[in-house]
Amino acid sequence: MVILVVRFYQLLFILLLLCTICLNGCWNSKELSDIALVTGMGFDKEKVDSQEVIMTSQVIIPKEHPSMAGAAESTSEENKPYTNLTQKGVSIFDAVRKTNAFYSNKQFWGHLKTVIIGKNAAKAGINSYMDFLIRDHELRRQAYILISEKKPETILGLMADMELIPSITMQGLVESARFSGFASSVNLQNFLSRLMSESTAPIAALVKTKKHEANALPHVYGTAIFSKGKQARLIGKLNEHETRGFLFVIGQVKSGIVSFKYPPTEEIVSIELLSNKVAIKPLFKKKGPVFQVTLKIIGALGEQLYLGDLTSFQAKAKLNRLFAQEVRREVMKSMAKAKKLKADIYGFGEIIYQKNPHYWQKIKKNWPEIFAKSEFDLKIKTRIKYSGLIIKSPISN
Amino acid sequence: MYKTQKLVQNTSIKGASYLINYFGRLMRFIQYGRNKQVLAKYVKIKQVLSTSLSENLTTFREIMGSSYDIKMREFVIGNSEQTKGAVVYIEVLTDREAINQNIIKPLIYDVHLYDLQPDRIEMRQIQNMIISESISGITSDFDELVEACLYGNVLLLVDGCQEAMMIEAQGWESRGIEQPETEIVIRGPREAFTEVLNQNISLIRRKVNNPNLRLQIHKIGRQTKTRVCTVYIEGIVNPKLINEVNSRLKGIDTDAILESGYIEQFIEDESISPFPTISHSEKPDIIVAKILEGRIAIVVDGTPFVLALPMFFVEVFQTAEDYYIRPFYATFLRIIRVMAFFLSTLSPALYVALSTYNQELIPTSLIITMAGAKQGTPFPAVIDVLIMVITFEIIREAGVRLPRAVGQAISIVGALVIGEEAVSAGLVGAPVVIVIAITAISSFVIPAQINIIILLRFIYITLAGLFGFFGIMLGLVGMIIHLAGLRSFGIPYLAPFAPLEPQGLKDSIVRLPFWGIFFRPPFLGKINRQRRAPQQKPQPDQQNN
Repeated sequence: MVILVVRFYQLLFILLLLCTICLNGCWNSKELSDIALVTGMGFDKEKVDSQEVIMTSQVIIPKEHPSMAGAAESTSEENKPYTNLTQKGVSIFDAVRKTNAFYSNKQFWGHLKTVIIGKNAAKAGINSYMDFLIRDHELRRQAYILISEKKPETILGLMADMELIPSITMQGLVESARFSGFASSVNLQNFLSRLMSESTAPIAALVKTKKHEANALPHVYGTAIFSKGKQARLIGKLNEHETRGFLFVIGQVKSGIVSFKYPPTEEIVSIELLSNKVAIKPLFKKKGPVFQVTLKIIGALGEQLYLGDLTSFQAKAKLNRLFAQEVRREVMKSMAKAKKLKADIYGFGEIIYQKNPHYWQKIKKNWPEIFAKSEFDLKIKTRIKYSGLIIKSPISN
Repeated sequence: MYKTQKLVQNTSIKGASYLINYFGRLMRFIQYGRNKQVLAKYVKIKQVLSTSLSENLTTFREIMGSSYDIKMREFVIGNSEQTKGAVVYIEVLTDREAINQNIIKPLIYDVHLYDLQPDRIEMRQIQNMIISESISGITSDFDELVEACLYGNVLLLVDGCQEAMMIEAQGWESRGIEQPETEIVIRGPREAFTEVLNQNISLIRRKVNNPNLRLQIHKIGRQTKTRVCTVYIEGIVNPKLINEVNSRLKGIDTDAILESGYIEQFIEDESISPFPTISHSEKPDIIVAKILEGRIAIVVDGTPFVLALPMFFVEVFQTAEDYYIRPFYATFLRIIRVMAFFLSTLSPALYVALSTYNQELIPTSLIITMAGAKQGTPFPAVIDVLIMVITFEIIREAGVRLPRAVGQAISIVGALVIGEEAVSAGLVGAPVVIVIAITAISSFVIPAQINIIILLRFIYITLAGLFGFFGIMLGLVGMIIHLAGLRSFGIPYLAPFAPLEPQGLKDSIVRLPFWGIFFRPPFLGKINRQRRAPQQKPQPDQQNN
């Protein structure tokens, strides 16, 4: 009898050992057919001071995607390859889980492309809502952040022609903004590092709708500026040219067209930007820090409506001067706006901290005021490297 | 309360020890059995021959039984009618023409030419003067005589002599030398080994015209007494290796050796491993190349597959043709083979891990398609993959074993089942089919080692299904630890990589031109490492410039 009991426990022990091998691994596995791919999310509030958050997540319906065999050729309202799930909640995660009441698949956030934040939520402050985006293990910080005047669900419902899923369209638009320099592309990682910095103000791109024939199309432009402090609140905007001025200073203009009038005939000349290098040197004066900003910009003659020869030595010097003047105008405009908002969007505070930490300790308390009063010594060196396939306009005499 | 706790604790410790015990018992069950094997001894009536011919023939008849092919022909030597002689041979193993012309005829007609006295004839005299066939010996030992007879020798007995002569007059039907079935080359010799030992040895001898080529014959198998021949080159091979191989071969005590695989399983270092530590080939050029590198070949009578040992793991990725074509392309092909090895073992597991654990690693546009294909299929991804892998293996095995004429039907059914119907029936998604197709095609790149790949594939699929990428990494680490621990006749299996042997790397995954490789592979041919003169790179004559 005793032997039987012992044998039973032995058998049980072996079975339990086998169970540990077989049962523990699958806890985290999710089948592809059970997950809902979220590529875009947006959140807003009804009013600036309302408690509840309105959360929209854009979920892909793979069967309707044109890459699948059997999906409809043309997409109409009935068979869109995505659906927007909107739900109110006291927190974002709360709203997300409430959607499971009418959408069975569990949302999977690993492929999030865009986060659209509504105007009201942005004005109320977004620090608290960022928590979910950092805390959740599925999320990756490559999603672009866009601030919208309209409701996020409207923006997430705009169909563009090339890509059928609006959130992926939006990702493409932000990424292509680097060819014009007219919108700052900020992903979650950039946004968070600015949010966590002592002095640098968080920024994001803006999105609005634009009428195009019968449809409304999304339009990504400019820069939204947030305040520092406990809650990052939307305090101002930079328009397209101010944005490029700002991007020149942080050295992120990868490409773009700078157009200006060529004096004698006041006809337009366009320069394509090829490279943009910045050197910022802070000088610690008694009255406050002075920043020596040196821009080295290389461009190519892209188009001239002026019919004269611009490749001569004198013309080139003049062209360089005008080019630098135009760049300076854009940079100064952005700086005026930033100073007015007392928002250090350039990260000058960080530069001071790196160069002279003791000095930074002294001034960091009232850095916004100091930033607003500090001087900028802007030097712009331009060079026009190429003139394309022709030297002067072929139709000129 | 306390007691039960203690009982549980005790049993858990005891359980572990019993688990080990069960394993030990299992191993004992596999390894040991009671030695009940009965020797196939013939009835030993006498150890040595007697002087009486009729008595000897009776003994032979008793030993060999009354099989129809055993012939005993008595005749009279010379024309004196005084001395009788007899030949004993097995008809199907001997050349009848040779026996008649070269043994019986001279004994009957030519004895008087030599001034022999038929009444006092001696074996030496017959050997020296009469028999023109080659003679393997003269003995009076019955065991030896019977054995010689069974290998196709003709035994000549003379009345009054206490000795018998063993005359080599073998002759039997065998197939000719054909093209290899398993190792096909585009450039390189096209001959392959056959089932006949001597023919195989001749194929090797013809390539190495060197007196140092040594052959050692072993007779293994209680019932079959199969001839097993070790081939090596004296002066290149490590003498310790020869001793080791000989002692392992001598240790084999089995009833039969029907193929070289029997030998392989008895003498390999690590039997419980999916990886082979002895290579085999049916092409003489490969075997000769291995002998020249300081290895030992084992030729087994009755099979075209010749063993070569020791073996490195890199040899899995090498073919004979690598050395016949130019080095750049050879290196490229070896890299392709390594890639195919990993693709074939890992791709189904990677698919499982990616699609059930790490969806964020798949590009968005791909995951949309994959999710769309997965929708509506009933099983989890692991089961999908297992179904398809097993289906493919069944189809492949059916294709290998079936007669050629029916084989085509299998490929049509297989293409339909795997390619089309599984998807349209909603059993699995289309991406699974693609993964299986890549897996299957890749596994054919290394046809000789397909068995390792298939076994590992199942292990990795299971691990990926249970633990995702963590499981795959676990499996890979385990595989590398296992490989690093393997030895082939005392030589590390992963050489020249681990332990690192820079000279050996010249002919591993990379193959340098021949003027760059001037040493034999590491650990082989220790006493004679250099195989070529260095600085043989073709270049213009310096003096004529």
